[in-house]
Amino acid sequence: MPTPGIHEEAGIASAHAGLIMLDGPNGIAITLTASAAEGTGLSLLRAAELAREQLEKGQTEDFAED
Amino acid sequence: MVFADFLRGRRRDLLSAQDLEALEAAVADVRNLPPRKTFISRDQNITTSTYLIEGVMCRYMDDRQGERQLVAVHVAGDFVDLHGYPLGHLDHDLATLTACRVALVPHVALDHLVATRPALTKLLWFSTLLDAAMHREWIFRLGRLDAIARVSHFFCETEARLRAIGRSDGSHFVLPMTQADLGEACGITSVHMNRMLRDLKDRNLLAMHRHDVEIRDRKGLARLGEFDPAYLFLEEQN
Repeated sequence: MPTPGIHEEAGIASAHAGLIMLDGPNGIAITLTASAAEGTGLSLLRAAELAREQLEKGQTEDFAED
Repeated sequence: MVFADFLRGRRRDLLSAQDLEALEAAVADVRNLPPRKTFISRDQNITTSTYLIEGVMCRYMDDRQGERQLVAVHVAGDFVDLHGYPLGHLDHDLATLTACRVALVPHVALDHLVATRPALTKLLWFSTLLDAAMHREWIFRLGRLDAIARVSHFFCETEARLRAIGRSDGSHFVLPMTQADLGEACGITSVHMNRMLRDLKDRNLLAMHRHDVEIRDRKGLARLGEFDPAYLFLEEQN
């Protein structure tokens, strides 16, 4: 069962007037320059790679609450 | 009559002729305000409450970079800062979007009304609670809806509010807000708003030409915007 707030569907990026709009998932609605979009995309790809490694190693626990 | 549109379409029938007369008598000044002007600043001590007779006003907050987020849009018939009466100052700025005509009701006059007219007091309180209900809905809209749904929701809400005061016929109304203003209300950039308006037009749901708005499919627009007018506490509309 999916966890509320954790999205399984991808957001959709589109270009208009030389800028990028990211719609979704859910309530995300932002406008980025091409540079910001590239940087965000690369950051997302790196984080996705790390997340897959964590899943493979079973590292799925949150930090312990203080 | 200054308060012709006050609570129109929302429990106006509970406002007795005597209470209306007392409210009219409480007005100290009626002013014309120019467009795009801050009228009350955050933290400014206020001693009057502002009633919007005509025009469009907004309440807004700026971030550290000066980027504006609208936190409310007000139309004719709204008290725009009645909550300032018990608070003493506002936690946001109040500005005109269009040329406006406002009535100022001194807080000392409200003291007298509150002390002598319980039914009117309850209606004034109701009007502030309507603001609160819209704020909750705006939190939902900005937090949970994507861009196209936010825009759809905003137009549905605005159309319903204007219809209650006779400024919309159910499909056509005038909304003197720029795409930048609309974007600030919906938490998106003006470029994104431009794209969303084109999308709504392509879907044959809504068309906006300058300030003229045509809602072509109100049910479809409401469905896309997850809009349910119950939070506006409007009397049944056609």
